[in-house]
Amino acid sequence: MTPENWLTWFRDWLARHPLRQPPEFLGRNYTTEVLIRIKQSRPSPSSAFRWFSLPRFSFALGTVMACVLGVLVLLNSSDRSDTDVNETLELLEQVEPSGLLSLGEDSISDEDLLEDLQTLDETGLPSA
Amino acid sequence: MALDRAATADGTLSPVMATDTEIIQAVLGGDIDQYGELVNRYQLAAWKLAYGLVGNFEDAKELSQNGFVKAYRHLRQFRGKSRFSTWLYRIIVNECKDFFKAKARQPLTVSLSSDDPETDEPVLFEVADPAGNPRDAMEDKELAKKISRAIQKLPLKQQTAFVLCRLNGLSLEEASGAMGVRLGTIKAHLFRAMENLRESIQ
Repeated sequence: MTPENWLTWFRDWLARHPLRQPPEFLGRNYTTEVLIRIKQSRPSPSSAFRWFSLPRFSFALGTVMACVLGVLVLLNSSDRSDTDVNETLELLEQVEPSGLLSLGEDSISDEDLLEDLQTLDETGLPSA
Repeated sequence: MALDRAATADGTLSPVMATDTEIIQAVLGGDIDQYGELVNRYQLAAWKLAYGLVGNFEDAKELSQNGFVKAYRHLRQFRGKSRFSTWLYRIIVNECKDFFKAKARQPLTVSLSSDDPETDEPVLFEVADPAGNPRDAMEDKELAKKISRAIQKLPLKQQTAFVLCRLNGLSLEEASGAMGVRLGTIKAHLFRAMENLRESIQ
């Protein structure tokens, strides 16, 4: 059979043999089922807030919010105290740049201290 | 206004008179029940398209209904550049693609088994009445099985083009819109489909 003949034969065969007809489910029931599915899938206005009415969900949400708030407050205060200390140190450094604030350096030597005590001893205490 | 032309005396939309566009406008305006008229109009064509692709009554029903539901959900995106039916067919074709992906494309062994209780093979077409010549009826049924099997074995794009144009009677332009391909592409798919069927059947 040539392609042309085959095409003619096949078209003729398809014309005599249509697709099988669907059973009874098509028609009004089919349409009703589609509409029901559409209406069921539509979000109702209250559905977005429905979860908030559940006590367990509300409690869990409240706990999570409290934890988040607590962590945020702690982080914020910690940052602020660090910043305050740094700013104070910088300010003092500007006022007295000679290194008096350096904690590791002993500013009065033992000899100076001894000399001061001797001077005090020689001078005496007027009231004594 | 378009809606006014189809409106009845009491102000409601007359489904019989209304065009697809008028019904869509009414549905978008909140009258969901009007969508039922679109379902009534295209349910058989939608079912036939899905049935030609998946070859099973129940799956075809499920997939075509999915198509209608999906079309409703995206109705606002329908620009009216094509006919509603073309747009709907495209959605159903995509549903069927997803169906085949999910089932790893095994229509002959899985999804078609329930249509013919005598054998596990699909018969997509109406066959001759056995009350006539039984021998002719038997031969007719065997040929119908052979053709059905050959259609189901086509690559999906060729099968879709064949089902749309040859079984559902869409024009090439409508089929290209439904498949989302150019006119030349649909012609090529259809030509190859017919060639493959000829080789399979002869």
